[in-house]
Amino acid sequence: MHNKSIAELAAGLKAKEFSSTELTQHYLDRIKKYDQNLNSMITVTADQALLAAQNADKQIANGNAGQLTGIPILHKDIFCTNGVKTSCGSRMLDNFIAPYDASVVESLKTAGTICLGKTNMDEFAMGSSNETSFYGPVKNPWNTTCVPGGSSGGSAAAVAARLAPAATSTDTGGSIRQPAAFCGITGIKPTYGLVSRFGMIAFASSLDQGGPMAASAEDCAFMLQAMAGFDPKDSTSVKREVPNYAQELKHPIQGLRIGIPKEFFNDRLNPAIADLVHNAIKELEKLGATVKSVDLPNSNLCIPAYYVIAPAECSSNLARYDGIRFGYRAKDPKDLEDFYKRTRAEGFGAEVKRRILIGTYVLSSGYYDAYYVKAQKIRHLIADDFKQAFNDVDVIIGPTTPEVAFKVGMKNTDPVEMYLNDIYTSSVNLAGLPGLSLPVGFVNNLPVGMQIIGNYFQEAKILNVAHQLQQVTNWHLQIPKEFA
Amino acid sequence: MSFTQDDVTKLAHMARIALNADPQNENSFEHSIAEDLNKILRLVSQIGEINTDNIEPMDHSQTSAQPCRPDLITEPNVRASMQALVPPNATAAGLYLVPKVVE
Repeated sequence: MHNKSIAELAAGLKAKEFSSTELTQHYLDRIKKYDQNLNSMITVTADQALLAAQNADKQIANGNAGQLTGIPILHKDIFCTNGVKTSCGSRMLDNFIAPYDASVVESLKTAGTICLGKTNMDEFAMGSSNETSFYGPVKNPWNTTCVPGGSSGGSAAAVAARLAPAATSTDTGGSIRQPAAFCGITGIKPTYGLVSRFGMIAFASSLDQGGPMAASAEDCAFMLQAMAGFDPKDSTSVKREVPNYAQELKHPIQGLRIGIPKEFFNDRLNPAIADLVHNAIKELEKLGATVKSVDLPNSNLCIPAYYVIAPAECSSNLARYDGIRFGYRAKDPKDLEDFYKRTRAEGFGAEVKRRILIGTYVLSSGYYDAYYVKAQKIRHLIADDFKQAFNDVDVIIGPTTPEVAFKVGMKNTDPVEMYLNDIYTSSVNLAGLPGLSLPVGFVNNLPVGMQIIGNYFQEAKILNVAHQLQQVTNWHLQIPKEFA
Repeated sequence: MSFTQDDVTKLAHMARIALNADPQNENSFEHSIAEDLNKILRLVSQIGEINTDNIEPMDHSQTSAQPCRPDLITEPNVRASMQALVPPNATAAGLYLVPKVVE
């Protein structure tokens, strides 16, 4: 059952080949069997999942099933889930039982999905390797000595090992696309404002965006359909009609104009990855697409600008964790200041504290204009580059990451080296555009991801391009042998 | 600009994060934090070299106006469920207890 797509699972449920209860139990059994090694889960909600599956079976029997009714999924532990621990990968929230559902969780529940549990992640989504989690590192199913990427590494590893057909995830600088690339699955970061952030624990509010991860673009389309849409509870949510993503997948891509930014094929890129991305682009050309070079001249500034803006917003957002109303509390404080300081020193891990300190610095008096305002101006330049490029092309394609998954522990001593993982992804967040990563081959037996960037709210277009490529290639169907 | 241990101490105070008294402990966060912050500062300082005259700061990719709604109560009182999140001795009479501030 775990080799089937969401469409095949939905058809199997409808045809009574198996029940949602059997399907849910099958995935729970896989989690039990495989996750001790992978560490992709923080919380497994077996009892609630089986109860929800029984209800889904009744719905299916009554003929009231939608595309996702009875389909098991996982939620990244950044999304609040009513009555279930929501830790955000941090000691600070290790004891936090969310008192409400995030809008995304509610939407997917309404669509009939079954939540199997919550996935591991970098602490407060700060990391590119899943090594900053309070719950320990997640292992890459393709090679368990390697990282799965981050921050949505638990979701990516779990989907790659087929512990669930799909998972929710979030992307602030590449946290959906980079782990999707490292784990050989498909993941889409939507346009900023398409998916509600209500109940999604905030890291950098002007960049954070939730999205789905699954084996294929088609599966992502079904998930995104349920996740997207205006939410009055999120003031940055954009009110506009959501297209039928699954229907849009079918369009032929004859005449599609692909832009190739030379800045994404720089000397940091592993040449073997460049070859695989070019091969995939050739497949798209065979389907009728045309290719031209585009310029994104300020791409080299995305990492410096990102590491001003994201820490600044993080230092402000994480000021709420003071131990008073929820979360970790330091023991035996000698006064209120000691209480705050020790709560935060003991509750947060090193990477979170580093980013809070940098953010505090760039927002402090005398440095605000030189760093924060300056970075916001650079952000404008980066967005203008994309705007210019999209005058001539429909999508922009390049590698998702400069290299394949690296060894656990290899980069966690140098924060800057780790940050450079997001060199091709963070500009998309700064501009607020949608971006998708899909697998296009292997280097050293590790998956390679290709990124498709679309114009604002062109999720249907990039899913369509990815889907058409997945009709003529089978990289998305590969499963690590150990988990087949 | 580069961070000294004193700068780190000042920043940590502003961010209300306690620092270990012994930065010489090689395994501690405090041992490498000044060096780490300097590396990050060198990375982000590249933006200072770019001419951004006449460029407006961009704080949001979508420029749509903030939505309005009728001024009606939409949320129920959730104080009891919120206060259930902390240990019983951390609240009293519906209020949160904190260490004494005024003697």
